[in-house]
Amino acid sequence: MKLMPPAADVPDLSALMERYERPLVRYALSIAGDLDSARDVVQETFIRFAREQRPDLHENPRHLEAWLFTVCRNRALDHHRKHSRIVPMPLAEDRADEDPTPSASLESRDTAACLLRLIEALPPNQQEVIRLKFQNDLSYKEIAEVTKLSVTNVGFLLHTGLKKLRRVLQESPGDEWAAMAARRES
Amino acid sequence: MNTDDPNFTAYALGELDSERSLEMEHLLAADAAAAGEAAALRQFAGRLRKELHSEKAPALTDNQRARVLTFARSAPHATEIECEGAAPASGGESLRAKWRYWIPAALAAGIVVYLGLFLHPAKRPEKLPALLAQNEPRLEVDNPLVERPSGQSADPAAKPAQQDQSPAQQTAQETRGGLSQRPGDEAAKDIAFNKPGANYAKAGELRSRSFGAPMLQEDQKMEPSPELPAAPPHEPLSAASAKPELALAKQLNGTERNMATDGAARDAVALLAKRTASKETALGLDTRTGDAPQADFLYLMPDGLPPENLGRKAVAGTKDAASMEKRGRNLQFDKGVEAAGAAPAPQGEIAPAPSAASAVQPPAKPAVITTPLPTRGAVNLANAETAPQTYGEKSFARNDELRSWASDEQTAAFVETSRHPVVAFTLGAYIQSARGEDRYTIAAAPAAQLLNSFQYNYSPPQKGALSVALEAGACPWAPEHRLVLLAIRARDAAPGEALQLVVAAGVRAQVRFNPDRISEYRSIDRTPIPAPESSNAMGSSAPAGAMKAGQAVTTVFEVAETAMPAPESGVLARSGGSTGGRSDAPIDSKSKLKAGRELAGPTAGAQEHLMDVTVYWKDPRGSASHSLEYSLDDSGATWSETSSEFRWAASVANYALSLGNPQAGAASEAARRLVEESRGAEVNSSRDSFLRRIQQIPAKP
Repeated sequence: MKLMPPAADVPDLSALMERYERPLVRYALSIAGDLDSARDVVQETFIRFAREQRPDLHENPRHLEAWLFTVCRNRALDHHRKHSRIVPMPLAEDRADEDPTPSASLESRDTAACLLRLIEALPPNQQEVIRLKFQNDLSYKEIAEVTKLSVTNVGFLLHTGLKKLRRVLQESPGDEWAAMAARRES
Repeated sequence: MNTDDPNFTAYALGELDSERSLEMEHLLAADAAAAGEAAALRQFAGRLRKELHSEKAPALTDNQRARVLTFARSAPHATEIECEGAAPASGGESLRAKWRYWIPAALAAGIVVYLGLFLHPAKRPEKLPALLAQNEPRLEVDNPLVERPSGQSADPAAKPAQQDQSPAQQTAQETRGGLSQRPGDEAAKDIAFNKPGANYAKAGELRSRSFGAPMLQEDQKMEPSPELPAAPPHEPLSAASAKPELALAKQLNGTERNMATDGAARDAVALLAKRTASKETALGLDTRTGDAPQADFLYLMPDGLPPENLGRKAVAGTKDAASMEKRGRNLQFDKGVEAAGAAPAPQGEIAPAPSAASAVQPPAKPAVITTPLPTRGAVNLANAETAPQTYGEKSFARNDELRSWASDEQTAAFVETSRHPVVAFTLGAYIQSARGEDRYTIAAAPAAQLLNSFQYNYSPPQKGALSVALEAGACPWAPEHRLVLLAIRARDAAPGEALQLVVAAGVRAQVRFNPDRISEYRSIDRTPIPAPESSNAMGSSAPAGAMKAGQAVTTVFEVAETAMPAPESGVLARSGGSTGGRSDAPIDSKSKLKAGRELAGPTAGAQEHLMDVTVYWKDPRGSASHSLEYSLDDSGATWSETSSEFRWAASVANYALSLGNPQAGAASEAARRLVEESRGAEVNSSRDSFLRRIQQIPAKP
C-alpha cells in the first residue's frame, strides 16, 4: 500500500471539470453511443480522479489529460459492452444543451452530420485516433497511451484515416466538404 | 519521395522529432510535389481540427457535477491506489491486458490453493498450530498426584502470602546474592505455583512427548492441569459464545496489524484476553491482505483446557466472510463450535469482561502455543525473512521447497515471516499462499518455546543416548525464588547416521521436589496443549517422546523455598553427581533411593537437597528401557555463579515472561538488557539473531 499526498481540492476539481467535461463527454459519446451513458462515464471519470492520489497527475497537465481520456475511454468501452444491445432514448433536457439560433443550429447540424457521416464511415480505430488527434489535440504518444497502441500504429491509423477522408472528399460531387467549409467561413 | 507513408503524415502533423524532421525537410527541398502534398495535408488537418472542435460537446448535468464535487469533499485524502478501470497514464496496463495475465494466474493460483488446502491437508495454513507441534518432543509437566489446596493457585490473594517472606528468607536471598533488579514483567509472577506433595518421590513427572501422542494418561484426562488454576466447569463452546469475538474481528478488518505497534489490534487482543481469561488466551491476529478477499482471523487459543474445550476461533471477513468461515471450519480449533452445533451467532456488542468477583480469574499467562522443539540445526531463523532460506545444512531457493522438505522430513520447523520479532524467531512457521505469504502475527511468545529456539552448549552423553543437565541458580525476576534448569541432551549422530535419526523413544522425566525445601514450584510457561484426537497434523505415526540425534530439550522451573535459614558457606552438601548447584552426572540407579534418602537426610543436607530427576527412555528399535537418576542440591549459586547456559535460558525465560500477557507485545528494557548481557557462547548465531530481533521491539515504559 502506498500513501499519496492529498488529491486535488474542490476548486481545482471544478476548474478541471470546466476544462475537460465537454471534450470528455464528446469523446465518451463517440464510444458509448448515447449521451446518458457518456455523461455517466464522465461523471465516473471525475469521481475516479477525486479518489486518485497520484502526484504526477497534478504536476503534469499532459499526464492528466491522457489519464482522463484513458479512464473515460475504458469506462465508455465497458459501458458500451454492457449496453450495446440497449437503444437509449434521450431525454428532452439533453437535446438542447446549448441554444443556438435556428439557422446556426441548422448549419451546425448540417456540418456535424456531414463530418460525422464522413468520419463514421471510417473503421472505429481510425475514427478514434482522428478524434483524439484533431478534436482533443493529443499527440501521437498520448494517443498511444490512451488507446494502448504503439506510436507507430497510431501513426499508421492516422495516415490511413486521413488519406481515406481526403479521397472521399475529393471524390464527392461538388466537394461537399470544401463547400461546407466555405459556407461556414463566409 | 513517397508521400503515402505514415512518416510523411507524421511530419506534416508535426509529430516527428527534430532530427527526423530535418531529414524530411531536406528531402522535401528537393521534391516540390512532396512539399505541396505536405502543405495540402496540413491544410486538411487544420480544417478537420476546426470542424471537429466545433462539434457539439454536451456538458455534465448540474446534478452530475454536484455529485462529483460532493464526492470530492468527502473523499479521504490518503487512500490506497487502485488500478481498476483504467490504467495509469504511463506504464500501466489496460484492463484487457491485465486480465490477459490475471485470469490464467488466478486459475493457476486456484489450483495451487486447491491442492494445498484439500489434497494436502497437513499443509493447510490453518493447521499452523498443529504443524508447529507435529511430532517434535516438548517438555511437559504432568503432576496429577500433587494435591493442590483448593483455590490456592487461582486465588490472587494467595500470592501476597507467598511473597511475604520471613526475615530469614530475605536474609537468605541477600546472602545468596539474588538479583536486585526485577526486570521481568509482573505477569511473570502471576503464573500459578504448585506445591509438592507429601510423598515427593511420586510428585512430579516431566515428560517429553509428541503432539500426536495422548497428552495425559487415561486416568488423568479429566484432571485439571496441576499448574493451572482449577478449570471452571466445562462449558461447551458455541457459536453464540463467539459472537463478541466475531464482532471484534470485524472491527479489525481490512488492514494489516502489527501487534507490537498497532494499538487497536493490541487493545483488541487485550480485550479478548481479559474477557476470556478464565478459559483461553487470545493469541493474535492473522491478517491476510491482497486482491483476494480480505479477512482478519482472530484466534483464541486454548490454554489449559481439556480437549473437548479446544478452542474457538472467531473469523470475519470483509468481502467474503462465508468462504473464510468455511475455511475456518476446517481448523481444528473450531471443533468446539462445531460440536456444540449452534447456529451462527447474531451480531452483538462485545461483552464486558467478567468481574473478578463473578468469575474465576486465573492470573495472566503468556500466550500458549504448541511448542515444537528444535532439532539440531533445524531452527536457524536468522534468515527467516530473506531468501534463500537455510534449514540446517540445506539451503532452499524458495520457501515452498523448504516447506516441502520440512514436511517430507517430518520436521516441524517452519520458517515464519511474522511481524513480531520474537514470534518470528520462535515459531518458525511459513505459510505460502497462492499470492505470497500469509502472516501470522502473535502477541506473545511462550517462554518454553522461546527457550527451545536456541542451541545450547550442553555436554553430549559420554555413552548412551541421553544426558541430563541440572542446575539451580538465582531467579532474575523474583529474587526470593530459585530457578532450576533441566535439560536433556541426545547424543550426536554418528558418522554415517541420518541427521534426523531418532536415538531415544518414549523419553520422559520424573521430577521430585523436596518438600522440606520447596514450598511451591512451577514450570516456566507450561504448555499443556491437549493432543488432537487422531494422529498428528503430518499424519505421522512416530513414537511419542522421540528425541533425535543432537536434539536438546530445555525447561526451567521456578521454585519457592520454605522458610529456612540461609545456608552457610562451606556447609554445602554434596550428593551423587550434584556439584553445588549443578548436576550432570547420574546417580547409580541401583542405589538411587538410598542415595536420595541418605543425601537428603534430616540434616542441613536435607534442606539443601532440592530435587531428584529420573529420565526414562527406550531404544527406538528395541524394547530395552533405560533410566538415569539425578539429584540436585542447591548451594545458593548467585546469578554470576551460574553457568552461561543457565543465564541465557533464565534471561530468555525472563524476557518471554516479561512479554507477559498477550496484549503486551513488548518487554521491559531491563529484560532486554539482561538477555544481551547473558548471551554467552554462541552456537549457531541464533542468539545474535534473537538479540537483533528483540531490539526491534519497542520496550515497555
